[in-house]
Amino acid sequence: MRAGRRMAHAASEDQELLRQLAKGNPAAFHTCYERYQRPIFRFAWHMSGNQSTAEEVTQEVFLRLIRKPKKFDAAKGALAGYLFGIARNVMHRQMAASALDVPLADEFNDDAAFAAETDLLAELDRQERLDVLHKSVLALPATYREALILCDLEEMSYPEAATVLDCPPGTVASRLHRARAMLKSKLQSMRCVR
Amino acid sequence: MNPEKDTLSEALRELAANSPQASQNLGANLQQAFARHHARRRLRQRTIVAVGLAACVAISVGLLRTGRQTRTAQTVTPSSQVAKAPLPEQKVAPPEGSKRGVQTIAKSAARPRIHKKEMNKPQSSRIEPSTTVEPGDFVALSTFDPAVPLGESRIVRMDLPGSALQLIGYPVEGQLLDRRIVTDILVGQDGMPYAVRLIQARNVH
Repeated sequence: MRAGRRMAHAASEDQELLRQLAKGNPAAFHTCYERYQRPIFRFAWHMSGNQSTAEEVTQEVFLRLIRKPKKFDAAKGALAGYLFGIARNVMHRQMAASALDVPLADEFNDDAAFAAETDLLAELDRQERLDVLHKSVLALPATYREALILCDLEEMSYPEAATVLDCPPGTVASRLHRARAMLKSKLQSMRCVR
Repeated sequence: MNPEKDTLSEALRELAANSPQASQNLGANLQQAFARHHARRRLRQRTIVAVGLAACVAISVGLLRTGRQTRTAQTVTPSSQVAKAPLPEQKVAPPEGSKRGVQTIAKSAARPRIHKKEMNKPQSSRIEPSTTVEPGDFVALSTFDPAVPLGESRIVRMDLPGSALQLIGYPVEGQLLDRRIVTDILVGQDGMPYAVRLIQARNVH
């Protein structure tokens, strides 16, 4: 199950989980880690494209949860959103430090991208396809990349993603639309190279 | 539905499903960090509780000690009957063999201060004045050690049965044993009776 769906299911349990975690219950931490480490790591990995950076970000997120579990306010949103928010902040700091962000050129043709994308993905074998897709996602500007990862990879709703990204849901929608268009454009340009 | 969009969404979902995972070490390290953090937190909490308890105990002991000192002072110096003895002026008479080794203390300037109200109080109906005892010198008891400085000694006026006086070492004989005797007792700094002076004996009905 993916983070977006899980958030809806686990929201009621999150507070009890955090309460137990704050009391030092190792089982509560294990449950929390098992529940959220994959989405957090995945988010960090797709944002950074680097396994060790993703591990550092994941570690930092859970260390903060260990040190200050009471900082989570259930009234402000789900625990998943809170953890993604931490991951995003840590990620931004890491990216600013290492200048990993290599945005694509902003000019692209929407119509041409739509036509090309399907063909390219169909032509490649599975692993190649995933590699190409990952690199294309990684090449998106961070603002669009995070919207795409949260909404399309983690299947968050616009309001949930908006909480993480600290912006209105409408902004998330427009960023996502733009991210998809840029991704298609990227895939098309790669096909041209091949 | 847009088929191109569906294709891209499916591809992204597949990408998510096939994304790598964090290493096993990360989980183990975080579990250890969790255990360490809470061990430290518990230790910190216990230390705080222990320090708090110690502070409470110290404060309680301090208060008890202060209270006890105050109570002792109040017991020893009832304002209406006790006066500080001007100790340097006291003279202790040499011991007399005829009085069973009991020393006598010469009449001193130390006289108990008695409020006028008490002096004017009517005597209890059960007590009658007696003429058999006349105020005299202080008689030193066996607990009196001339070598020990008297310091903050006090004279306490008490109304005691003669038998009680005998118990503290004053030689009471005959009829006086059954009577109540108004007595000045010289009480040392350590709370021990050093000397006794009889004031008045009363018959008890």
